[in-house]
Amino acid sequence: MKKLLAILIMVILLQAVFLSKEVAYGESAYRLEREIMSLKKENQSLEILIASKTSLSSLLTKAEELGMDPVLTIAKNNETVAFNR
Amino acid sequence: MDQRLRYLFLFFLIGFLAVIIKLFYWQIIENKRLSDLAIKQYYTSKEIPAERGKIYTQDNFPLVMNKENHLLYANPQELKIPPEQLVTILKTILPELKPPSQLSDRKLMWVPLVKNLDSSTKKSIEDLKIAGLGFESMDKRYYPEASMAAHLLGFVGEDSEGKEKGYFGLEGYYDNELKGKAGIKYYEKDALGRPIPLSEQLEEKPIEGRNLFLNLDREVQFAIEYRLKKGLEKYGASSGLVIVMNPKNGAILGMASFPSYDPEKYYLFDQELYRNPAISFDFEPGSIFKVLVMAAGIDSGRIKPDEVCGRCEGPRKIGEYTIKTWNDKYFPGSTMTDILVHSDNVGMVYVVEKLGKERFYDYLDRFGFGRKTGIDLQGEISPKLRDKEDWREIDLATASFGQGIAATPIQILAAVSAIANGGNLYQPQVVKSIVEEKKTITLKPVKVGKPISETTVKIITQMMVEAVEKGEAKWAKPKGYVIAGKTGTAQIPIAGHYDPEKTIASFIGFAPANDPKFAMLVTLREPKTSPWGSETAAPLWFEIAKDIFRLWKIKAG
Repeated sequence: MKKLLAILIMVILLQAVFLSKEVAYGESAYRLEREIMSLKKENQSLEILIASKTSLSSLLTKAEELGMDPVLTIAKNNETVAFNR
Repeated sequence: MDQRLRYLFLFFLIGFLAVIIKLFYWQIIENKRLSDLAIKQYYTSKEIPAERGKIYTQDNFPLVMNKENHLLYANPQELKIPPEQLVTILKTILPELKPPSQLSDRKLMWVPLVKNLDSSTKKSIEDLKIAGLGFESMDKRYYPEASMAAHLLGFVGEDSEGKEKGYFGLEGYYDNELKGKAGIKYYEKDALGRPIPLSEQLEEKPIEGRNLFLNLDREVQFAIEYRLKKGLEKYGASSGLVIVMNPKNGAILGMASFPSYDPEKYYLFDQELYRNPAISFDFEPGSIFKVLVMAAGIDSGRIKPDEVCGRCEGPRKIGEYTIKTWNDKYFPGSTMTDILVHSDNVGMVYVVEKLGKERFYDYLDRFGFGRKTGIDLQGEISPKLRDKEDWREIDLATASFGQGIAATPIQILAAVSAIANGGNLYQPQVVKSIVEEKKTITLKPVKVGKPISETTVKIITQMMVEAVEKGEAKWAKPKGYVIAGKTGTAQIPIAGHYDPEKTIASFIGFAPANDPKFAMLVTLREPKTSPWGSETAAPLWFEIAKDIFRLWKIKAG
């Protein structure tokens, strides 16, 4: 009878250990999945930020704000004149 | 007593039999349906959307990306403050909020309030910590270069089932490649329908959309859009387009047309603007068509470059019609080169008459007229060519100078590019490669045919160079560069006749003439400052050419 009781307790303990491990595993899997998603989103935002900062339209606006004349707006961009000098 | 026992036995027997039959019905006959029903009760599924493919220019810059957008909704059952107060608070962040009437309905659990919110606005609303508000996130197309190349890109809208679908341009043509395939995740659910985290989960991973890498040169695209916008203002034209192509392989390096639309907010624009004029509208090309007729005449051997026009001394009468030159000046004794230089309609009638109807029609076919070019953009059309037997003498005569015959701008540019590349007709191509996770598909140039010989190409190129050097647009040509080109001024047909006031001004050409790096077509509709291509489209063409020379470091000479 005592042996049976001991075996039963052992089985219960084993199950508790197994379940707690599974819970921990499930939690970490879920956490990792969330982390991957959040990194993906962050990556996407950074890509968008880089693209919008380096777009030609924003560079043109920036150049104009800084008082520069973009080459496209110079009516005579005659390179030969520059070379002759 | 026996009798009663027998009845009782029979009663139980029938009862058991009924149970067995019912069990047989449920377990054997209805097995599949009931199993599926059970699975539906235990499991819940969630679609995992596939990210739509991005579109990159030649320099690997993303022209189209995806950006997370949010939909704000309210759950009236969980709202702790009155709807009026909620609206007042939200209006501090969303001044244009129009509260729906369902907000006061306590039976509802989901009432959409605003869509297309960016992440910073979402955060501002979250910081208010209002119970009963929630967000749903979804990806939406984002354009770092704003409306650049809108006609070429197309846009993403919704189909009849509310699913994302690409329309027009690349988005429409490559919709299957771009959209990918959504995945699905199955969870076991509890009695309240909530997913059980540690239960068995089945996941079908999404297949992300393929990315498109274009032949489009971003700097060239920017330059042509910038110049075209300025050109429309300067010449008072109602619309205009520019196409730049690599004549050696048909790669589209730039394509712009105005008026245009914003693909991110396409729904705010007139639907007519969605169509790309470069591929979806036809026009009578006018004098730019002369180079192709001349090429056909020389290639067929029916005329020689130094041949003298025998009938160029004055207007030509064909049936009831009289054909004149654009300025009513006539040049008896003109050579074929002179005919192109003077853009002489009467001279072109001489060319086409020597060429003959059969050969002329054959060359139209060889140059690709009457059928689509096959460009990889949704919405291409091809105006039908008149049947060979329906061509009258006058039709042939007017077609020699590009009137009474219709073509799309891309058809004209593809045909003229054949002169620039040794005589080969290429299919215009916007996409260079399609890239998915582990595979890259490179699209090779497609040679459609060889309409003219290399010898003809050399002769026509020289004629086009002289047309630029000595023609009406010579004043605008960049110094030191050898450019082959031709101006065109076409009348606009309206209700069976031509509009006496309005024209379509064009210039087509390629440069440097001895080793062409690009072929380009510029077209301006109804310019106000001058109706002539030589005074509007040609200077614009040369301005853009100067930009390209500078960008690609092409030296003069």
